[in-house]
Order: sequence, then C-alpha cells, then structure tokens
Amino acid sequence: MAKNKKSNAKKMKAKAPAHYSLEEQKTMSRIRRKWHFGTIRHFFLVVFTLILSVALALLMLSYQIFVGPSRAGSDLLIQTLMESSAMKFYPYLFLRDEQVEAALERNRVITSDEATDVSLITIRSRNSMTDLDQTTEEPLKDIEIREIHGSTYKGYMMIVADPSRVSVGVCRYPFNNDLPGLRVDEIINNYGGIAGINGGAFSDSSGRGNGGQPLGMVYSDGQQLRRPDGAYKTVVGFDQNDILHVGEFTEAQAKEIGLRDAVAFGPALVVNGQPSVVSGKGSGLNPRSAIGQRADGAVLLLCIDGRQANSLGASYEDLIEIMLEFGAVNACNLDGGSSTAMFYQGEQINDGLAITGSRALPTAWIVK
Amino acid sequence: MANKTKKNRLYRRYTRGKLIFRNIRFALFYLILLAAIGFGMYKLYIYIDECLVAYEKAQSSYVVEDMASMFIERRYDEVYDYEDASKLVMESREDYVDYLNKLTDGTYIAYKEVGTRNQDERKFSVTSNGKSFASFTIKKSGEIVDCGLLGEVPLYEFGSVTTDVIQPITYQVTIPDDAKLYVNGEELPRENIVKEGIETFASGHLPEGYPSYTLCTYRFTIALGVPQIEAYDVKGHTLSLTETSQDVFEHIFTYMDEDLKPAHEAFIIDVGQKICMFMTENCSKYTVLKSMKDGSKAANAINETDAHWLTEAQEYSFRNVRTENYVQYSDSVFSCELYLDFDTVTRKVENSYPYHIRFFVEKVGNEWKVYDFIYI
Repeated sequence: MAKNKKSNAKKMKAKAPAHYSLEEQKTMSRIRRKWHFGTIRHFFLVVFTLILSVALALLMLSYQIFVGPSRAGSDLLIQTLMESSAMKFYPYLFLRDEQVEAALERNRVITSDEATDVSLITIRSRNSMTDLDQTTEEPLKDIEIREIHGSTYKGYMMIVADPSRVSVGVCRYPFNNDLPGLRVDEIINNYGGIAGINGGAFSDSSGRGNGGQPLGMVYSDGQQLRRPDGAYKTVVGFDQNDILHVGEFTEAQAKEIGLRDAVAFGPALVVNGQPSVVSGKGSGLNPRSAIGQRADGAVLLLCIDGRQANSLGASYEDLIEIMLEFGAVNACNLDGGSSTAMFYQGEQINDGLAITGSRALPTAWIVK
Repeated sequence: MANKTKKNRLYRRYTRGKLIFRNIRFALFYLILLAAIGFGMYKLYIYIDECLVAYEKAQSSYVVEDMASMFIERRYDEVYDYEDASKLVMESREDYVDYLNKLTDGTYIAYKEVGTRNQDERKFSVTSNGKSFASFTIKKSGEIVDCGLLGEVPLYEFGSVTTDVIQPITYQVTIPDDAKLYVNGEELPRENIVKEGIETFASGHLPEGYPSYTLCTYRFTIALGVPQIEAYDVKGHTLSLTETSQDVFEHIFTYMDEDLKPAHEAFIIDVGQKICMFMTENCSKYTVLKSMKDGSKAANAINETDAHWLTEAQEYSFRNVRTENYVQYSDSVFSCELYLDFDTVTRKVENSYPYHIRFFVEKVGNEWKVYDFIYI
C-alpha cells in the first residue's frame, strides 16, 4: 500500500508540471478519472438507449401489426411466426390463444383429396430431350435454373427435364436421432449428384433439431426407409414410371402406387392441374422449397429466399402461382425456413440464412 | 519548453469546469438523441400504419364479402345485374328475383372458394342450406397497390355471377289445334307454335263436313325451375299431358271411355261381330250395311268386298271382347277401338282370328252408324 502511494505520487510528480501543488495535482487526477469514467458511461448509455429504442420500436411495431388496423397484416405476421421453429411463442405475447387460433384457421390451404391422375403426365422420351421447352419455346435444357421475383420474395426455379434423374438422398440409413444430419451439398456428393434442394420433414424441436431423424414416410431408391406417422401425412414422391404423386397415402397405397422416392411435408399445392384452395394467404411469408412436375414430365424444384431484407419470403398462395406459371400439373410444398437450400455443381444458389452454411438435414431431393 | 507547454495543455484539459461543461453538452446531445429516436419511431409508426391500412384496403376479402353479401342479404335485383340475362328468354328481372327469393326463403346462405387455374380471378360457390345454387368470381382489376414493406398487392373487383338455377330448357308441347296452352298461369301466344296441322289417326276418317282433328306443337324456353304447363280444350276442360320424352309433352286425344262406353259399347261389339261373321259368310252384307251410314267409307268397303277370304264356319264364337279408347270429336262423332278373338270351326278345323278394329261412328238422325273403320 505504501509502495503504491509512493509510485502514484511519483507518477503524478512525473506527469504534472512542476508548478502545480500536490493538492492541485490530486484534484486534477480525480477530475481526469471522472472524465474518462464519464466517457465510458456516456458511451454505454447511448448504446443502451439505442438498443432499448430498437427493442421498443420492435415491440411497438409488433403491437401495431398484431392489434393494428390490418387484420390481414396481423394474420400474415402470425402465420409467418407460427411457421418458424423458434418464434412460435411471439404472437402469444400480444394476443390470446383463441385469437391466434382464429388467425391460423382463416389462413390455410384446403387441399384436394383426388388421387394423382397419371394420364395427365406424358414423360418426354429420353431421345427427344432436345425438343422445345413448353413454357419458353426455347431448346429444352437438361437442367435449367431461372431466377424468379415477386413483390416480397426472390428465388430460383430449377427445371430438370428428365424426371428419372431426380431422387431422394438421405444422410444415413438407418436414421439415428443422436447423430446429426448432413447438409444438402453433402448428401448430393454422397450420391454423386450435381444438384439438389432440401427434402421433407424432420424432428426439429424448438428449431434445435440436429437433422438426423426425418418425420413421415420416406422412400429412397424404391425402398421404404420410414413408415408414415401422424404428423406429416402429405407425401410427395415419384413412382417407378417417374410420375410425381401428391397426397395423403397409407403404406398400402404407397406400395400400390409403386413409389420409388418420396418424402413427407405438404400441403399439396397443385393436384391434377387444379390449384389447392387458399383461404386468406394460406400461410405467412417465409423461405420455401417446393417440388412439382409439368405435363411433359419435367421436374420443377423451387427455392425461395426469406427472412432477409431483400426477400421477406413467400406464402403458399405465391408458391401456387409460381408453380402454375411454370406449368405444374402436380406440386407440393417441402420443408422451408432455415432448411431451404438449393445447390448446383457444388455451389449454393440461394442466399441461405445461416452464417455457418445450410442446415443439417436427413433428406434431400438430388439430381444425378 | 515545448514539452512543458504540451504537458501543461494536457493537464489543464481535465478541469472541473470542462467536466461540467461536457456533462451539460452530453445531456443536450442525449436529449436530442432521444428526440430523434422519438421522432423516428413516430415516423416509423406512421409509415407502418399507412402500409397496414393500404394492405388491408387492398385485400380481396372485402370484394368477396361485398359480392357474397348480395346473396346473403337476398339482394337478387343487384345479383341480376351481374347475371347473363340473355339466358332468360321468357322470364323478366322480376321473375328472376321472385324465383330466387322463393328458392332461398328461410334457408342459410353461405359461400366458399373453389379452385380455379385462372390466377387472375377467384371463384366462389354460393350454397343454400348446403346446396350450391350460384357462383361468383372476382377478378384482378389490373391495378396494383404498393404496401411498402408488405409488398405489392393486386386489387380485385367484381367479376361475374352465374346462377346454377338458371338452366334454360326448351319444352315442346303438342296439343289439338284448337286447344290453349298455359305456362305458369299465362296463356302462351300462338307465335310459339312451331308446327301445326299435324295429322292424327282420325285424319281422313271423319265424316265430311266435320273439322279435321289435327294437332299443333308449341315450343318455349324456361330458365327458372320447372314450369307449370296446362292445356285446355275449346270447352275449357283440362287436357291431360303425357311426357313422352324429356321436356316433351303431348295430348293427342281425350279418351272418354267412362262417358261413351256404356252408351255405345253394345253397338260397337255388335257391328264388329257382324263384320267378322260377314267375312265367313255367317252374316249377310245387308245385315252389316244396316249398321253403316249409306255412302260412307265403311259402307263402300263392305260393298267392295266381293271375295270372302274365309269359307263358312260351322261353328263360331267370340272371346276377349272389349272396347276402349273412345274419342269424341263432336256431339255426333266419336271413334273407338274393338278387340276380339273370333274362333271358328270350319270343316272340323278350329281357327282363331284376333281382330283389332278402329271405328269412326256418326249420329245419323237418332241412330248411330259407322262411317269408317280400320283394321289395325
């Protein structure tokens, strides 16, 4: 202690001009400390104020949207948040349970229970793949990626001319809850594919699932890898004739159809050329993936970015519109949110959400 | 020296006055910051509010509700304006409104969306107690509203209305030329006749001087429901209509068996049997001609029969004798049909000959005489 006092005194002596008294030097030192401490305090006060302002602004906006002049806006936000894994709690901070349930009820997709009419699809012969694309009348390419834009989204549509090249890849089999899944590009590489998008449902409690366990029915390479469960009843998959089927199938029905590759998610967007009926917007705005098939058999793989400043996301209504624009006869929604990813030749085409790259998943649609 | 001045300057920087001044300056800055944040939040609130109001106004659900309200509130005169009125040939706007009012009286009207591949319009089905009776569409007007961060929303407007119940059906009714046809209580003008002078089995067989019995066909289109069709003869008696095929009705004759049979059956059977017996030489021509009008077609036919096609029967009898289908053309002319089986024994050979004859009978003086007859 005495040593410190001495060294301080030495420092003050060394720093202060010689004509200041010790008392004056002590005062100046105190003031200087106060000055520096005040600087730090002011800085943190400003930062705290800004953070608090942002939080208040967020709360104010949330309240305004949830309880404000637009029921449609409120429904949209409720749907958007309820579709995410981690933000389902947020609407309940502002609204009662029944209000949230009513909003979900007002905005949904009413799907058809028709069986897929296989006569509507005529797979173009492998030799005629050089014919014209039915939507652009340009020479048909094997794989084509087109950018698409909407008022609240941007995304990509991958058109694969030969449906036999599209199949389901899995992270591993048998599936293991304790082991994480693989990224879409990793699954593509494992199967020797060149492109793909994310697949179907998987166990993802509060958004922290490891992607190791799919949910619902899964078929890959003609084998049933997972039986259907109660959660995800809508199945989308190709049969042995490369025709895409969409609907709620039992195991027996899936065997009867002869599925070769399939995953579960939903809802069905287009069935036998007819769009599903959308009540309200059908959903919120989120990143989306979807798969469809045209009348000439070409497969449509859709990926929409979301939760970003330049792309809020798309609703089911938007997906139906896009699929119909591209001539889909049958189409189904796939897993979205942070799972949404499209890869082509090793590069991720869409702007994914995670800084660490696309998410670990159990299944993916791959293009060989 | 320079170092001393520098040290001096540095040291004199942190004075109490400057500290206080800095605190005041910061306080002012902080107040301005708060004010700026407040102003910014206020502007943000206004912007978001405007976006939300624009977004809500642009929602197609309001257009849908407006259109649906026309049905729910039974404002069918407004619904008529969106209907394809060309389908209503005979009915008026008032008929349309009345019909829909009756159809939906006391029922629960609801609507639901049905899918359509046309992305520029949305289609809805309207039900009455769960049964669809109309549909309407709303379509994109071409205008787009910019709702800020909520994106661009296309505006919708009223589209069209189709009432399922309006199903124009063309009916055809054939009745006697002199009869009158009423549809839904109103007499149908003769302009609706598409064919007249249609001959019947009576044509050419009625006595001379009597008007020929012919038919005419009316054709008309009704779009609202099933019409009430009635026909009346010249005396105002109801003519029963028979539906011969879908939406085709006819009344050819009025059979008056109940009225005429008791009075004339015996005579008809007697004449018929005489004709049968005449053919087997069991009855003389004179006897037969007594029942026929002189100079009539029937009398001429008997007179011209000079070759008997059957030899005289040793025994004969009649079975299954009956008359039916009595038609009265006037107070003194009627027709009817006779059925009988004529059994004979000729040279020990038994034969049976079925007969079906239509007689046209005229009152001559106080007696009824056969004017004409036809083997059927």
